[in-house]
Amino acid sequence: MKRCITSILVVTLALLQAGDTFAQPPQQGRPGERRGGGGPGTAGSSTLERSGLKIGQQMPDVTIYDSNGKKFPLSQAKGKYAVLVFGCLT
Amino acid sequence: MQVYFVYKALAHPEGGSNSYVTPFTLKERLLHVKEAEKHLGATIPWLCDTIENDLKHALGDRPNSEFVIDPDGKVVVMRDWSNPATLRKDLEELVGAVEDPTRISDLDLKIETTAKPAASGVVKRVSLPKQGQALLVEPQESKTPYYVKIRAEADQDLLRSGKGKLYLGFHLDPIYHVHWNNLAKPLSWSTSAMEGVSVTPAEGTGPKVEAKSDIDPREFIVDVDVDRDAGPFEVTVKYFACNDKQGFCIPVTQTYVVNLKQDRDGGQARRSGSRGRPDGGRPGGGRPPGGFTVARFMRFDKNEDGKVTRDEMPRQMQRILDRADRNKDGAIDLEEAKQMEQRLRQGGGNTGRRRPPE
Repeated sequence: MKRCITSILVVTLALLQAGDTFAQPPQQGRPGERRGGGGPGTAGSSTLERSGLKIGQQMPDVTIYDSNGKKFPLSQAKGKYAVLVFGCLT
Repeated sequence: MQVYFVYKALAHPEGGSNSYVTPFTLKERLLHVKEAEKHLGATIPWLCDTIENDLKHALGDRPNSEFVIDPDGKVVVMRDWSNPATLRKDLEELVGAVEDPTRISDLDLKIETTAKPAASGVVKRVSLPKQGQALLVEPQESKTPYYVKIRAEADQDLLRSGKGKLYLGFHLDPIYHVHWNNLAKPLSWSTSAMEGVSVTPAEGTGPKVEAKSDIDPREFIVDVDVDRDAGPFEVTVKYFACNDKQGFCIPVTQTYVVNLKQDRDGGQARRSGSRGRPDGGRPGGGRPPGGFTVARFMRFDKNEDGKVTRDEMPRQMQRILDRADRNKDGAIDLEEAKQMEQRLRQGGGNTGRRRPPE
């Protein structure tokens, strides 16, 4: 469990320190252009890019669930900036 | 701005302190989510991928990726591996920094672990000589939950030629808090005779264990020989599942179809053999030499710039700087710390605490 939870914890801490207000995204040098920020095995080409998803594209509208088991189409997250961080117990 | 954690397929089944195993149903995965919520104690909401792993598949199968989506639903950041320091910078750029950010020390996250229902480490672990590949297994209809879950892993020979070794592990699912009752009949399994499929031995029984109860997996290695066009085969398992708190100890019979096809969502258990240790942990499970872990190490990042400099490290740890500082910038960032931990787990280095004689 530690691996994912540790990553998530560190991310949590980072997120809690980021702003919570809206601002216009910069027109140049968007952070997403620095994608593939790199973990083990990600140097060079990005697996995410190989999946076909690209910066500027719509997030696939996959219907997943909230923690109570209620359906949650990802399009439901529209309207404000949304951060998705993936993890699991191990 | 809204932040979500997304729960996905286990990257390393059987890993961690509770040896979590791959859930079979959405209900079980949602129980994992509840465990994760409880363990972490964070207030960020969790979402849960479908049991078919639709979102994981749509996004490239990465274990620890992260995304930022703009208000129109467009991806503005995507990263193969979560990088907290960079993500923070991204977010400051996108939505602005706050005047008085919360510091790590301000948080009181309650990282809780669940008590184990019985002894562990009393049954010898068994594994393939080399890392196996998880096979696609299909649990058949059962009136009772799958308190015990099968894990089938094939060695490379079996996948390549149809003749090789197969690991069959029967793991208690910790979300049900059950244990083996060693005073009752031990677990037994059998394969059904299928044309073109030979499994040797075709049946097995768990070991006699002196402890009255335990939670260790029951593991077997079998030889499999299948004809090229042969289909999958069935494994039926019988066991007693016991839960003291809920006061039951019931006989269960369940059947699986085992396909000789790799399960892309099966993760890597790395329980022992070439890379791991027989503690059921992730790569080189347990604590690496010197107690070095990324999470512990990054706590030294006092100014929270995503790097630990020599000044920020305790004196006794400064020796690792030369080994871990791959880009020679005088500091160890998250990525370098991860690589260091990985090397230590694989026995490729030391933290300097116990320096070998020169």
